Amino acid sequence: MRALFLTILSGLLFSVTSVFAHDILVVQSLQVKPFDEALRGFRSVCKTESITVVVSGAPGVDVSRTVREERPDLILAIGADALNRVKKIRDIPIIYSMVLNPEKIAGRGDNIAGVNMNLSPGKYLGLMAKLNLPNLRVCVLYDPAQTGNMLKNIRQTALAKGIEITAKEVHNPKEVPELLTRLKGTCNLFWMIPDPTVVTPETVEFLLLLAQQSRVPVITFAGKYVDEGALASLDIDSFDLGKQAGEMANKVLDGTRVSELPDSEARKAVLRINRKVAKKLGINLDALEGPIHQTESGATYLPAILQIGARLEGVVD
Amino acid sequence: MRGSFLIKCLAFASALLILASPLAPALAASDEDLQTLGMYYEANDLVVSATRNPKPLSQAAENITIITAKEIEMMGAHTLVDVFATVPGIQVSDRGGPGLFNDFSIQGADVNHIQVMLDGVTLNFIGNPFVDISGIPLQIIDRVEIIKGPGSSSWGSALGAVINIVTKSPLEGRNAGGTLSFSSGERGTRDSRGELSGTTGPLGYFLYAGNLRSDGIRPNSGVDQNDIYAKLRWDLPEKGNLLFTIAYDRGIAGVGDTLSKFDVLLGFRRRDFLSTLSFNYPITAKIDLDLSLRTSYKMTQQFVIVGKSDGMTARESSDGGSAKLTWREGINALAGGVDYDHLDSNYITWFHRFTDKYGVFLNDTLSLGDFSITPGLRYDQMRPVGDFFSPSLGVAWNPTDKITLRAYGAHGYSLPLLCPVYNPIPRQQKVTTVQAGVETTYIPWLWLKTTFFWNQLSDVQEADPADWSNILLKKQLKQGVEVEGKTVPIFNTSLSAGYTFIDTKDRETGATLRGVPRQLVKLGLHYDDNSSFRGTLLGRYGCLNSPADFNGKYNTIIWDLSLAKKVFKRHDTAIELFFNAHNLFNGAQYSGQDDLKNAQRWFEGGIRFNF
Repeated sequence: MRALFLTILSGLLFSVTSVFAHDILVVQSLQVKPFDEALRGFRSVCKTESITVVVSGAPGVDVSRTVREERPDLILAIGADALNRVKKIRDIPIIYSMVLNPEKIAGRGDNIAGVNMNLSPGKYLGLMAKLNLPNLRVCVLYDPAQTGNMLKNIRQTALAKGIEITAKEVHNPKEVPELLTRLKGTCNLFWMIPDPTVVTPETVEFLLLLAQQSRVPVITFAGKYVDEGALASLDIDSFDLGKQAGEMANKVLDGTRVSELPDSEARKAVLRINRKVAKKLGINLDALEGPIHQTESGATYLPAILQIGARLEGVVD
Repeated sequence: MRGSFLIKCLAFASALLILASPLAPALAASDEDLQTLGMYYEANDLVVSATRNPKPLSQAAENITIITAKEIEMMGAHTLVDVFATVPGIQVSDRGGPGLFNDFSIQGADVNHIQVMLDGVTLNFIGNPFVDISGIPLQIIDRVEIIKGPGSSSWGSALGAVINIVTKSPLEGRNAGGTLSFSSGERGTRDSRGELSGTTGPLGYFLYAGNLRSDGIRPNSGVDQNDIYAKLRWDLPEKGNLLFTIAYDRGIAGVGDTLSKFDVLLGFRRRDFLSTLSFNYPITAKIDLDLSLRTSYKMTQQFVIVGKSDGMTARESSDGGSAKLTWREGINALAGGVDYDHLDSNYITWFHRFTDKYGVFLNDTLSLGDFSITPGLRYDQMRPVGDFFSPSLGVAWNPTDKITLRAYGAHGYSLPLLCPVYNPIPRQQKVTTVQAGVETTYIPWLWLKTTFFWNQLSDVQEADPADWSNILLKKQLKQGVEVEGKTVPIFNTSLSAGYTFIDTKDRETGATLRGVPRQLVKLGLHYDDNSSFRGTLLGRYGCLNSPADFNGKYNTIIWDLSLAKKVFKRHDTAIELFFNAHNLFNGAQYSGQDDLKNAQRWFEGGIRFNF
């Protein structure tokens, strides 16, 4: 009986084949719509077989163990928590997506690359320039610990475009109202960047109210603030962020070294504008709202927007 | 009467689960991700659907429970005993205060059938049928993995369950960070703990020190224990790492009012030391090598506080090592290795035994589409017990991403009783098990897991109560069902519940085994605003089925409340105040064995500083 058992067991143990169970392990922080969209985008270009682990609903999930068991060719980390969980793995390529500050989490490991959630400052500055505000002076609040690198990038790009940036450091959301009040009169446009210290429900409410009172337009990174009174937003497209990551994954699976891939910014911007606010502030949106063109991909573009690489998704009347 | 009470409890739990289910967003969420997404998206875009199950658990055929450091922090627990009291299927005896030596069982499996490991070192005494988990500091724990059912094909002597305590790793990305915490409660109860952790270049470290003292909530249940722990990790230049750990625990504790009727009060002194050195190296992309050395010493001394009685001392030391090779190729993930331990057991003055034990194991995971098949085999040899083969075979099937079906069968063992009585036939205690279960998220916003278990035991060894120099060999059956459920949070609030039914009998007489819990109920209400305030209300009930002459009392639910509020937060620094109310409604829940009673209501408060 024992001999029979051992024979069967040996047969099972050594039935080794060259077929991998799963080539890509997707580690997803949460199962929410934006992350699901990113995964959909990834799969739209990267058809390699994958398995997904959603870590939020699984207390104690040991991702390292999963990796050891699965031994995938590549790991896709969707979200900061996911990247945090896999960053210690050194011998498997890791591509991330939907992470705001990847360098803060993982540094720049030789096996880690991906797409962060930020659009190039050039896209925002291009949009601001098209508003034709006289003597454009832009104010920004930022927390050096959160978005210090982003601000450096903003300053460099603005310098090249000849746009004046006034930036003030914030270390606590409670400092925001006072700093905003002090900035009154020093700029004619406020740029809201995705900084968790600066952007909280309370600070946004104060900011938009003050901006309205001071007749200063606000350009922001998320459409939800356009509904609340910002003039315009350039949003990221989570589906396309996933697609970008998928394209990177394809390159890695085709033999490109991860260290040769640049850490990328989101490439596609979605524009939302608030006509009512524009009208109140006397801002002419003609440069943004030209005749609509249908592109080959079916997306609806505006000619002026094409120059800043954005897609018009919604207009608040 | 008791039955109708229980039905009411279950009906209440079910109603809570159902009422909460249609609205909820997440079982647990990544704070940073939610904060980031909250900046970009409307709240209704961030509704989380019930999640797919994690790969390791969905591939495991065994019934596994995992408790994380975050969950432990939410409980207001002092020792691992307090944590286990909240886990479905586990019954813990409460001896009257925090930090005391406690007995526990898992799905009816006695503590001497459960293997407990810390950093891969077995904590069980071999010369005596107990394991003391009260000296393990909670703050060093990253997670606890509990395999309910035999784990002999991987771990050897583990007839009833395996508890694997995994300690924290050094903090990544920072030179230094840590936590200081202090709590103070009734009867001079004070719990002081501190940890420091960080990574500098290739060196990572985690250091811990703590003290728990109390005059005891019940008579003779005082405790004073000190613990230190250190872990150092050195990342090797190319790949792989070296890991060194050391733990030391020294304490003194009462054993409750156990023998007061004989005018005798007893106490325990405890001293535990363990250290490990391991080398982890990926030889190729598909083959990993783990080598580890370990040494441990544990001493438990029973001493007389009041009256006349004999004190007893148990000392055990062990030195050993393991080698494991993990190979992944194609559909296989194969782990094979050897364990070796030299044991020196010294009990009272006349029992002294040197022995060597070794084991060879081979475990595989075969991934065949939606199926994971996990065959395992282990061979153990130990003087004077002899050898034993422990085979196992498990199947996990994931037909969709919302359901996992499991089946598991195994033959396992636990080491025989070697002390305190002379055991003329030191043979293994054996079990044959069959388990089957379902884990699903098909019901919206609700995670459910059900497991049926059937354990047939033979050669179970008990000291003959009529003649303590004699060993009785028993044949037993322990079977039942366990149901666990958790909702995702609604308004930051979630519910959890667990119910275990255990049917036992002596296979020779057909009589029900007394003293093995028949029904266990665990309830939980959890609140976490993911920002500053969190709270947990945990309830536990056990139909302890103790012999009538024990005069046990167990017809109420014991409720524990923990509240915590962050009063300061900046970058990585936070100050949190917390408050714990133990046994909120002053309920009685004890088997009556040795006249021990559970601790009555008591309160404590404290402060936690993270930096």
